[in-house]
Amino acid sequence: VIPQTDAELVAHVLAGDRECYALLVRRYQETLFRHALGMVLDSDAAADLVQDSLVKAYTSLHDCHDPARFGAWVFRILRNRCHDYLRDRRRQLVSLEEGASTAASKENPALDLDRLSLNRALDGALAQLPEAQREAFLLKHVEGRSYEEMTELLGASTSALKMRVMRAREALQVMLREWAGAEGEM
Amino acid sequence: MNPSVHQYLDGCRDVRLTPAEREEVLALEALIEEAAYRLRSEPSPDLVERVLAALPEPAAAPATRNSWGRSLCRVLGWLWNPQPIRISLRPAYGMMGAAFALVLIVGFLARGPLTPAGQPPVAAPDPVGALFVQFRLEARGASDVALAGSFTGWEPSYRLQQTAPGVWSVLVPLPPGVHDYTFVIDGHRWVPDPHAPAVPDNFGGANSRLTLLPPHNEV
Repeated sequence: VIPQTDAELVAHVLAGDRECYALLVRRYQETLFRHALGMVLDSDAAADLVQDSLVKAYTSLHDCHDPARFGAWVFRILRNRCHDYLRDRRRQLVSLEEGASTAASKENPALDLDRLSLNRALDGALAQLPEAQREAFLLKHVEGRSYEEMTELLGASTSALKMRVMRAREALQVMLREWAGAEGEM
Repeated sequence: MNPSVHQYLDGCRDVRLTPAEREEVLALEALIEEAAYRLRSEPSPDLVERVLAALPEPAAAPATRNSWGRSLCRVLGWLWNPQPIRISLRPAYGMMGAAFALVLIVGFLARGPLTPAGQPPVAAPDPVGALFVQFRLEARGASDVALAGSFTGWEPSYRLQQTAPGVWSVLVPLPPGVHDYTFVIDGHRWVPDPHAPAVPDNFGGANSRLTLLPPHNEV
């Protein structure tokens, strides 16, 4: 009988069975990748972050106090990795912009959006959302999680999460209206 | 944006919407679906090989141990680890042996005590004070049953023998104290003893607990 539950697999990994870790990776890699992609909007970076998180989870597996919830635990590792990545990228972008002499179009995102396809516009709109709102929006509408699950994963109250999702929807709506208006003017 | 629209998008389907709100919901749902589709349609890479390759190597065997050392370890390991033993005996020889043993015992008892007169007999204590405990499990359909516990470093070191169809048993020397243990069926199913008190194993499962008191003369 092959171990089935997360708790069984974690116990086997802790006993030295690396193949069981491959089963855990296979079980969670896609969910983790989708979330990372939504957060960083770069598939290569998302794959690196997921890999990094899964390696970190392996080396810290003794700290996983509830192996039955391994998925939630590794998600939190990935979440921190995504925040670190975005913070570093913001720092890099700021330093680049400080040295640039032409940043005119940054003042009006709609001017950028009107040159992009809807897909690019959606990426841009998601990228402009505050991280907490983007995270909540992704969990709710891309990953289809319930607010109860989100509460457990993010450690925030249901009402706070509903507010973040609501703000995210409103912001997306406004941004895309701007984009649609700009498209119509062309 | 109207709160009713958000309630509806949050999954509350019994919200009454005006035609304008319904239109807004439809537009937002289309927008959300488009954003979600963008992210879902990106092919997810298979990271299993990458992750496994990046994992730290398990602790390697000491490099200085030569082949003689390894052979010695194997021999000592074979001597030390419990091994299944099968003894075939003709019943006639068995009866003869039993009769011979009986003669020896009767002769021994007829000689009286070996200890000097006036001194109480001293029972030779077991060198390690071990008690022999029989572990038994009913596991029909199992092809292999082992015992792991706090006394083996949770390695399934003791292999149980099938003493009757579906009944497995092993005799293990244990020091007095509290011991946690579990059975390992077919190498990967960790099963607690259904007839012993269960304690959490901190991995979402349970182990069994055994408490052995020291013999009376050691209390």
